[in-house]
Amino acid sequence: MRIGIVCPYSMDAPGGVQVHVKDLAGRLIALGHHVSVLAPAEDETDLPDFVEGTGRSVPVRYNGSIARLAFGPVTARRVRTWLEDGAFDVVHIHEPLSPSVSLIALFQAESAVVATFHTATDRSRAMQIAYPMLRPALEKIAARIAVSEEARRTVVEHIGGDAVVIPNGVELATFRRADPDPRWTSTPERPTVAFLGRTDEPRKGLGVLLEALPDLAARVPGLRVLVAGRGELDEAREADERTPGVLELLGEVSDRDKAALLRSVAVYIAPQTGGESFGIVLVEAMAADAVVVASDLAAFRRVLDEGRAGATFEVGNPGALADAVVSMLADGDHQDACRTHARRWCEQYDWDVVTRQVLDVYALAVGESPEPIDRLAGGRA
Amino acid sequence: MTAETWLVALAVAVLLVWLALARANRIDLLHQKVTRTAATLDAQLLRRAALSAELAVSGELDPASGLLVADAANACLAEAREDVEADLALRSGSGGRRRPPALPGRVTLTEDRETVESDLSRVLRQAMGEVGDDGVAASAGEGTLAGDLVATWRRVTLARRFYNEAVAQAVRVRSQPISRLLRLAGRARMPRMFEMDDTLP
Repeated sequence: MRIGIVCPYSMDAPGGVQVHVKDLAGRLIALGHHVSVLAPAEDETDLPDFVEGTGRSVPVRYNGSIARLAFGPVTARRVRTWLEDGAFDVVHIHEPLSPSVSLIALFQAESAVVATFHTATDRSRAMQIAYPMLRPALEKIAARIAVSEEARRTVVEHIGGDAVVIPNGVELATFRRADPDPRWTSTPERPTVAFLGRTDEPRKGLGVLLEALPDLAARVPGLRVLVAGRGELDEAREADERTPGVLELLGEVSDRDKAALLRSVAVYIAPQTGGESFGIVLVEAMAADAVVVASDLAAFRRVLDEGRAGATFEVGNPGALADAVVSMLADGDHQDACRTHARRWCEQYDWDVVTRQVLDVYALAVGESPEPIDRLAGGRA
Repeated sequence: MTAETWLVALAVAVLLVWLALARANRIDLLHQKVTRTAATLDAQLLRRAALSAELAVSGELDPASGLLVADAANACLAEAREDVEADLALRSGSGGRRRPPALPGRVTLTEDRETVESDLSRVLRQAMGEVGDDGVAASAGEGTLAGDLVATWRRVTLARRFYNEAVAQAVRVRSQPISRLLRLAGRARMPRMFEMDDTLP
C-alpha cells in the first residue's frame, strides 16, 4: 500500500506525536509498505529518509501553548507537490485540525483520508469562528482514530460524530527483555521503588512523592526511592536532607537504563497530577514487570484496567500515595496478581498489535471493490 | 439608479446560485461516502458470515454450537443475497418505469439484516466461549480460522462506525432547511444508520 503520513509539529522539537509518527512509519515500512512522512523541519535537521521536510516552521501561540507550525503559500505548495508525487492510496493525517501542514493536507487530499486525534484540548474561539469553513473538509475524513478515550471524547464533543480508539504503540519487547540492574534490584531487606519523569514539572507529581517521603521511610524500613529524569533537583535535595538515606537521584537516564530500572524495581510510582491523556510509561512499567501505583486519573485508571493491573490513589494526596505504596509492598500476593494481569493486559499496546489495527483502518478507508461482494453473496450459502 | 439595483440583484442571485451548487456538490460527495462505506461494511459482514459458516463445519465447535452457528451464518448470507437481488431489480427498473439508483446503504443494509447479523454475533459469542473458558476463543491465534473470524469481526465494528459516521454527516447536511427547500438531494432516499450487536467475544 502507498501510505502518506502527515505530522503537523516540527521534527526539530521533541514530542509525543512526532515520536509516534516516526515509529508508526518505521513499522509500516518493515511490513513492506511504501511510506512517506510529511512534517515541518528545518533543512539542516537530520531526518530519516522517509521523512519529507516542509521547511521553516514558526513558533506560534495557538490554543494556549506555543507550537512550531508550518503554514503559508510555500508550505501549501510543498504539500501539494508531496501529495501529487506520492500518489498515495491512503493519506493519514495526525491532528487534522492543527493549523499547520495537517489542515492544508486535509483540504488538498483527494485520496482516502484517515485522521488521528491525539490531544484532549478545549475548543478554541478560533475554531468556533472557522468551523463552518472547516466542516466540508472534515467530511472528507473516511475514518477517524483517537489515541485514548479522552481524545475520543474531545472528538465527540467538539466536532461531533465518533472515532475508533487505537492506543499509542509501545515497544514492549524492549522492556520485557531488558536485564535487571543489580544496583537497583529490589530485595526484601531493601525494597526499591521508582519515579520517572521531569523533576521540575509540577504536573509530573514528584512533589507529591517527596511530601510522602517521611511517611514512607517510617513505615517501610530499608526503602530506596529512585528518581530518574531531567530537570532541577533542589526540591528533591531538600527532601533528602530532611529524610536521609531513602532518596537516590539518578538524573537523566538512557533508554536502556530506563528499561533496566523498570525491570529492577518492585514498584513504579506515577504521581502525575493531570494533563495526561495516555500514560506510556505505565505501559512500559507493566511490560517490565514493575507493579504500578498511580494517581487516580481517568487515563491511568483505563491503562491499569480499572485497578486490576495496578493500584491507584487520590490525585495529589501524599498520604494516599504512602498508603497505596506501603500496602502494595506488604502484600506479595497482590503484587503477583497485578503483575500477572498487567502482563496480559498490556499486550494491546504492543506496536505489532497497534500497527495491525491501523492497517485494518487503512484497508477499510480505501474501501472494497464491489465485485467480491456479489461473488460472496451469490457464491456461498 | 435602476441599472445599479439590477446589477446588485444579479450579483446576489449569482452568489446564491453558487452557494446552492456548492452545497449540492457537498451532499453528492457525502452520498458517495455513504455508498463507499456501505459497500465496505457489507463486504466485512459477508466475510464474517462466510468464515462463521466455515467454522461451523470445521469440527472445532461442539455439535450443538456448530449447527446453530451454521444456521445463523446461513441466515445472514441468505438475507444478504435477497437484498442484492432486490437492489439489482431496483436498478434495472423491472418494476415498470426506470427508478433512480438507490443508495446501497439503504438497500443492502436493511433492518432484517440488522436482526440476523446481531443473532449471529450472539450465537458466535456463546459458541466460541470466552478466552478464559477454554473455548475456541482461547486458541484464536493468528492464522487459525477462529483468529481470522475474530479479526474480521473487529473490522466489522470499525466499518460500522465509519458507515454510521458518514450517514450522520449526510443526514445532517440534508436536513438543513436550505437543502430541503431547494431539494438539493434530488430523489435520493435518506440513508439510515446500521444498528447491530457487534460486541466482540
